[in-house]
Amino acid sequence: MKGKRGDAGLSLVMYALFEIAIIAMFLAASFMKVNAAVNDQTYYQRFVARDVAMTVDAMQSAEGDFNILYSYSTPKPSTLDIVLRKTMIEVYDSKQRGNDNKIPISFLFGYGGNVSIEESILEHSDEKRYYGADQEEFFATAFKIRKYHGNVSFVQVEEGGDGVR
Amino acid sequence: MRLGKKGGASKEMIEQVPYIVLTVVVMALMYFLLSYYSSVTIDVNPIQANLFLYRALYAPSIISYTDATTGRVFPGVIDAADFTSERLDQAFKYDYEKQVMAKFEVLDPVSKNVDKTAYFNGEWYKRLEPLAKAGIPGAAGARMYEKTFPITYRNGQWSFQKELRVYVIIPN
Repeated sequence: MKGKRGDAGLSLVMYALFEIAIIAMFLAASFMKVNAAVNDQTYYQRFVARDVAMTVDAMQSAEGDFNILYSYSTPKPSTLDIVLRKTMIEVYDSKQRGNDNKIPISFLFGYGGNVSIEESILEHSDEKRYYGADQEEFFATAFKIRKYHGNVSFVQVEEGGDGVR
Repeated sequence: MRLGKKGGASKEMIEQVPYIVLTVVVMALMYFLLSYYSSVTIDVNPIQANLFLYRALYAPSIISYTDATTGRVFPGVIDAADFTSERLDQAFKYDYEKQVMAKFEVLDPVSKNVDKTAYFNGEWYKRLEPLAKAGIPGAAGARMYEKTFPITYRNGQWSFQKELRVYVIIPN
């Protein structure tokens, strides 16, 4: 049979358990947040979405045809799938391919006027491994963003073409 | 009135509630601060504002005079008939209405009197202008960018030397 001390001990244990649960939840949420923030993949997705969308915006601003060779390199495989939509650039993590609920990082560009957008997809399997002068390996992707007769699209760079691969 | 054993235990548990609430509040505040300072923000607002201006001034058939025969654009030559909010809104759009908004003013270069005003996404410009001017940081705020260009303003058969002042607002 418990006395007053037993009751006090029980409430102290309950209090300690609550505190531990709250701190554990806080630590888990914090680690997830920091991990997402420092994850290279998230950064690359954000950067590429903005950079490509603004490039498309700039191409639509001027007259004439353009053929821009767009390339980026990363120290580790970046596994980005870049999608040109009618109104925005969406960048997916290719590990989420096949997942119906995959969430892209997107950035909008202005659309309309005399320019039309041809929806195109650039999958990360296009990425190639290279070695720098110091034998450090890096991974690079290159593709063309083309505006031809008022139509903007992505174009794959062919092997051996343009001196890129 | 004296509490029984069960009453005593409940009372001690109730006494712990403020401490638990305080712990939750402190943890939530720490998480908020962590989220606020650890987000990887790539700030492209100034570039976006410049791109918008570039498009408004250089793209054909927006506000700069475009030769109907050759399709050539004359940036800085603005026809009064083309300088309207309707024309700007029809020229191009963004999928999200709060992406970019702007006010274009044609000014007299000496007196600085405004001769004509046109808006791109004017409804949202008027809503966000006070927030942008107040410089409110965070998700609810916006930033304003201002640029002025010398222009030739054509009104009928007359041409005038004027200034074009543009305020571009980009929400945070």
